[in-house]
Amino acid sequence: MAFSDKDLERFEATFFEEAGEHVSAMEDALITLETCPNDTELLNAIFRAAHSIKGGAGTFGFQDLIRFAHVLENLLDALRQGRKRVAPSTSECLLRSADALRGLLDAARLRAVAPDGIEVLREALERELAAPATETQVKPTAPTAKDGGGEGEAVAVTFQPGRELFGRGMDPLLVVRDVLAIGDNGSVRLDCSALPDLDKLDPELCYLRFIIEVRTTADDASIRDVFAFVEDISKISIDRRTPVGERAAPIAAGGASDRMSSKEQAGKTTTSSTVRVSTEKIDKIIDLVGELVIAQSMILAALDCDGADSRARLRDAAEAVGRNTRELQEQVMGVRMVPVGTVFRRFPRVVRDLAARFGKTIALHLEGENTEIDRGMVEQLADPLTHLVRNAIDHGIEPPAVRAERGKPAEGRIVLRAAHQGGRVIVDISDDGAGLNIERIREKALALGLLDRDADADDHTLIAFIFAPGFSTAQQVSDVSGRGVGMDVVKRSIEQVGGVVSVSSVAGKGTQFRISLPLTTAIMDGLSVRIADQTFVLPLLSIVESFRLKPEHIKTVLGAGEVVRVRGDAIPLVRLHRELGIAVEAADASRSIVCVVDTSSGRVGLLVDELLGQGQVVIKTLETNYRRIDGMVGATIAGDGRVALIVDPQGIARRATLGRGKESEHVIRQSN
Amino acid sequence: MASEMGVVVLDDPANGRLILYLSGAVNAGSARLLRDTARTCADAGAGVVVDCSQAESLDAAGLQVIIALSRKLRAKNLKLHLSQPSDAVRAVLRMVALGDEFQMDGEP
Repeated sequence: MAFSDKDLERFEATFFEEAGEHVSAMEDALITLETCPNDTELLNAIFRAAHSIKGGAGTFGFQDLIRFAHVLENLLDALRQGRKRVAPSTSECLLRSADALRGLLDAARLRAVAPDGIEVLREALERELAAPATETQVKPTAPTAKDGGGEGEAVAVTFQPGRELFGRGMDPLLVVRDVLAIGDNGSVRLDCSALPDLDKLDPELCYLRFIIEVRTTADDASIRDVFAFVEDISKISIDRRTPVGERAAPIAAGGASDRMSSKEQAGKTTTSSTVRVSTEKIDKIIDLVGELVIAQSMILAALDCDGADSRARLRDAAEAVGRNTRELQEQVMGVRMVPVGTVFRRFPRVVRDLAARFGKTIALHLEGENTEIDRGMVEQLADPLTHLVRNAIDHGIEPPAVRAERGKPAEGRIVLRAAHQGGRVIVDISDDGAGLNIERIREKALALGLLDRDADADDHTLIAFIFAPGFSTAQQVSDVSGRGVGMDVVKRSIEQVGGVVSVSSVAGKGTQFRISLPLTTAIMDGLSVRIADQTFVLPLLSIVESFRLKPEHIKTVLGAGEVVRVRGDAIPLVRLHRELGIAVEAADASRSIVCVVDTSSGRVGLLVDELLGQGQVVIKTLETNYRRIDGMVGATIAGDGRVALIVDPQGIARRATLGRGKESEHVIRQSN
Repeated sequence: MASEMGVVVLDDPANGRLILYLSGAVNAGSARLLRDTARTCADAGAGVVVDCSQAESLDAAGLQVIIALSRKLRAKNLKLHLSQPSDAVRAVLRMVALGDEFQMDGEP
């Protein structure tokens, strides 16, 4: 069973993904631990996360990661056993350790050197561990493991790994080591009675059985926890009456992990699939594929029939295929969905750290964490959300003294809420802070030339300026926010995945950002259009309206190129055939259609030859199959089998207006 | 990342034995190669010294091949001796108390 480089790359990628999840889980638990320092279950969960990371790192030989996780694991072990108390300083140290693990994981992924400060933190953890126990140290309420000293009950654990365990990339010796680690005076007997003759030995199968004897206070559930990754294919029995035998050799003193070198600590995490799909979902998909096979047989049978009978049968078969395909699509898309909580979970830490830094007290409320969102959307959503939350902390929530003056509770409140609404995912980020300062926004918009001095802009229009590039009303620039770099990026990031961001604010009451996202990025509603003899798709969400062009509506404005008048407004006109370099015969503008699309820099009219119809299209990335094309978001395969490029209105508008600059925008406004 | 297992067999006719040098990670990924090499050694009709000084790790898959080789040799009244086990290998062998299966440097 030799692993190819590709296999190893895949295992490694899985390790990094799962290790990242472990760090996030650890961080969540550490935040909760600050308010529940005696919660043994939390400590166990944190320990298990560190332990899994160390184990996985051992598989791939990431020595810096192993060394750091080992020390962290030792401290966590002492905490969960009640040998040490979770003091505020400990909590801080552990949270910094979670950061360090992230840094080490990144370094390992990039084959880079460990980040600065790791050694200092590792030494701090060792000092923390070595510090003598104090009278104030608290014993956890339900200890599950036992440190040295020979106390506890003699337990014999029989572990018969499943024959296929190696095939999962697992080493039963690591499990044995973990069992020994939960107690003292442990020993192992190896039962090789099932081992065949060398000539008949299949090296991919496990023939060994282990009888592990250990003295421990751990309960059965805690012991079984050790087998969590193997129990489905292994036989495990726990016998509490069996005394510790004399035959097996005692284990050398030292930390649990000292018993084997770090190189030997093959990872449990590498075996878990990175895509977790319930068996019910898979069964449903298999059923639907079966239905499609039946429908295919119906089509073949119909082809053998004559005339009207054949047509009727084909129609029935086509309906069955259509029905099953739609359902299959829904099911498969469901596989891509993950809870939005995977994005939300980073924020308790962000809020905790930044609130402390700005001397504010802020409670974060998370709602709708189980709302499912497309897997591909998660990463796209993370950065914009982080920016909005940071802004809320930095500029939204007032300091406690100011809140007190305004009759507000000292503790500010930020709410992250997700819900499905009308076939979209809605994510709200709201705070009960000071709200946006409309007057300051107006002043800034005037100063930047975004607003005419005599313009009668309502609050809604003014608030929209916060998404303009370089726009910031922050009086003090911090390294967190206030540099005017961000809100435009937030908007663009969200729009790139077909989302829309809006904001509402009430002075003195707070601000709410609403992000509306499509359920998936893999399929979208599109409008097929014809340009010369080629078909393109425009994202339906970005289209405001479309109309047949009258030549008299086109004007040419100095420095701004062609514009088209739409109910009194002049909007830039982009002749797509020209922009895309498609040769056309002498165009009759009166036969062309203008599709008005919304972009972050305003509305743009895209000139096309014909509207072909709308429908769902499956997005194929160009980078994977061809190469990136500026102004195109991807491609899809049309019903006739031809490839149709999907236009990125934002990119096309940017490309078309490149060089026109603010001056031209001003000219356009003056021309209105 | 641990290096792949390397295996070299040297004939030591003066002492009537074969020396099997193992290096890198002796694990499930390399157990087939080890098993095939072990078969060759077992068929040679000589005792085998397994030099583990360069073995970075030893997992259960590798361990069971070594045990099977030891048993095969014992059936032929030959011996397997584990020489210069690295710390990693020594830790595994101590943990599972394999004194009855074969001799190891530094062990009674």
